[in-house]
Amino acid sequence: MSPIDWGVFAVYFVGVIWFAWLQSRKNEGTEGYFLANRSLPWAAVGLSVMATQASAITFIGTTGQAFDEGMEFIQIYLPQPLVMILLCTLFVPFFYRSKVYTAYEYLERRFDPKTRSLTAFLFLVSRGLAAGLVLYAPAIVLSVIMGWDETVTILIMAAVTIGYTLMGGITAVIWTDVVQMIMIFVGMGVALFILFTTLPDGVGVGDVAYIGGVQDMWRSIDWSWDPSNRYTIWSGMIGGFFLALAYFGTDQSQVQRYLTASSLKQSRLSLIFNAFLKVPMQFFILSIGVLLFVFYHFEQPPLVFNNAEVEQVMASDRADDYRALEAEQTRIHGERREATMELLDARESGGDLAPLQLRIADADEQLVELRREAKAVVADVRGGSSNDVNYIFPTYIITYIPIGVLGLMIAVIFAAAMSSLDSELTALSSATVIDFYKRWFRPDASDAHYLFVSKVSTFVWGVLACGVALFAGQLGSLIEAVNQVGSYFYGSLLGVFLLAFLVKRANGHGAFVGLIAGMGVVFGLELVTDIAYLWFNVIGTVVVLVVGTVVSGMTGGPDATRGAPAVQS
Amino acid sequence: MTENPLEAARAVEEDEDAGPIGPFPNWTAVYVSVVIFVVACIAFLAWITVALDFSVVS
Repeated sequence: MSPIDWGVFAVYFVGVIWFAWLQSRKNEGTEGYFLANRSLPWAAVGLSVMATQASAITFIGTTGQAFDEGMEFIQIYLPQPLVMILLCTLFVPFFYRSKVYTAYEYLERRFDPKTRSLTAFLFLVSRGLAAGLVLYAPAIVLSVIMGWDETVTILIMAAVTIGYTLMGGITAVIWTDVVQMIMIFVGMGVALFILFTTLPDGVGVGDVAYIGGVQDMWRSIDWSWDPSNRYTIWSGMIGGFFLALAYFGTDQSQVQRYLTASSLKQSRLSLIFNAFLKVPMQFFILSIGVLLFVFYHFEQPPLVFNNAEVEQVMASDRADDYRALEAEQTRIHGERREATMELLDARESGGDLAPLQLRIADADEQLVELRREAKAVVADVRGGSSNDVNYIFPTYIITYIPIGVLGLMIAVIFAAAMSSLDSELTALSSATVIDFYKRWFRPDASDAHYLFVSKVSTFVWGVLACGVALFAGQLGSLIEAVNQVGSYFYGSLLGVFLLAFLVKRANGHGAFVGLIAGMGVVFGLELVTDIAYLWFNVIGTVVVLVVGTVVSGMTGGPDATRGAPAVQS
Repeated sequence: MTENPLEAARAVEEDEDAGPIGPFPNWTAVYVSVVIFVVACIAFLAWITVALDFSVVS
């Protein structure tokens, strides 16, 4: 990076720390540290909700996905506005009125301590690992693309985030999220603008839309019913609905955000704000990926975007094979570029488009096949699969983006990672202190004591996230496996909360057994079927509701366990 | 917590949420506008899928 880029990058870090310090003086006690004394406006809460969901991988991975597969991923986000309505009408009033610190605390009032502890434990395990991956994923990408030391990148990112989270608690977290989210919006706008300016002279917006359309990259809606098809309108609207409801309604990292609002009305407004902003935001991020796809019709892309993998291959006895594939790619890319330019000319002059489109389609097919073969070579050398989807957009910015803007884009990647990590640290700390330490070990200590323990807990979770990130490379598939298992119990967690809100006769035994059954069924289905993962959220929820209701009925109904009265009037 | 949470939630709604929400007369209007927004998004994306399919070869 140039000195100007370093300057821009430094301004981001100094600005975030200074801004967090300003906000940190507004907190009072444990409620201030975890809930900002329930005082924040809807716009800040809304942007923080969005920043928490959008990690660095959302920004760089989603563009890569659109580059490879087009716009279809957008379907998973379409039900989110509807989820916000359900949260506003059902979840938020319960949580907000209960004056709880964590979502799981509510479950003890409604059911019993074991249900609360199990759900909180599941959250801590899955979110604790996810916090490590939030650090690891962008660090490994930046280490490959920028040549930065992976360990130093992780430590700097973590140290600054832990520092301002400790200093200012959730108030600092939410207001820095606001700044970081605005940076992400600016970064997206700049990336789109730069992409257009780096296209060849004479290639305009219409041409970009046309070339993407020739290759079917704008296909956003798939109406097919195939359950093994990952992204269709049905898996998106139904599976995506349950996934989003589970995430926003039961994950403490999100529930904690809207509990900080100054009133129920402000809390709801923050979610409605998200309802209108999320889909357009994802549309623009995916559009950047499609634009990249079009851009690389005119500029030759790397055969494999992960340069570290390529270097490994070049140092192996498969180097000649890889070079041969690269030479073939250069030849076919040249043919595709020529056909693309001729197609644009023919489109303007009214020429015959079909033969040119056939040439492009043929070249494209060959390029996809070459990329597959290259990845197979990489996998053979490395002894594992190759996935370079997270490297596509960073490769573009390091190669083509002008001085100064590169610093901004790297800062945006950091901002996206840090704005997710800070929220996860406060959520992990609140669940640790409120659902375990205060509940089981020191129920009657002073507020000052809990505040101290909360800060220690934040620090420990930050260090653990660092540890996971630093060893993620060695743990490899184990981390991925545990993280994937974590995603399998989201639907079951949602089932427990819906059981609490909607089933009058449900009790703690039913909720607990239902939760175990839901996770067991989903895990079993994963082992023996090829059902797309989005459907697991639906299945897990339904199993918990059915089993929970039946077991509650068999074990004496709502009075069988300690807890609040039934919630349905 | 000694009261029915749903009734309490409703009471809060009545106390704090009465009156217009920005340009909307009440929360129901807000939720209806969100549903219309989702339908419009799907319609727009379905239109893009068809209108920006420029392939003339199968």
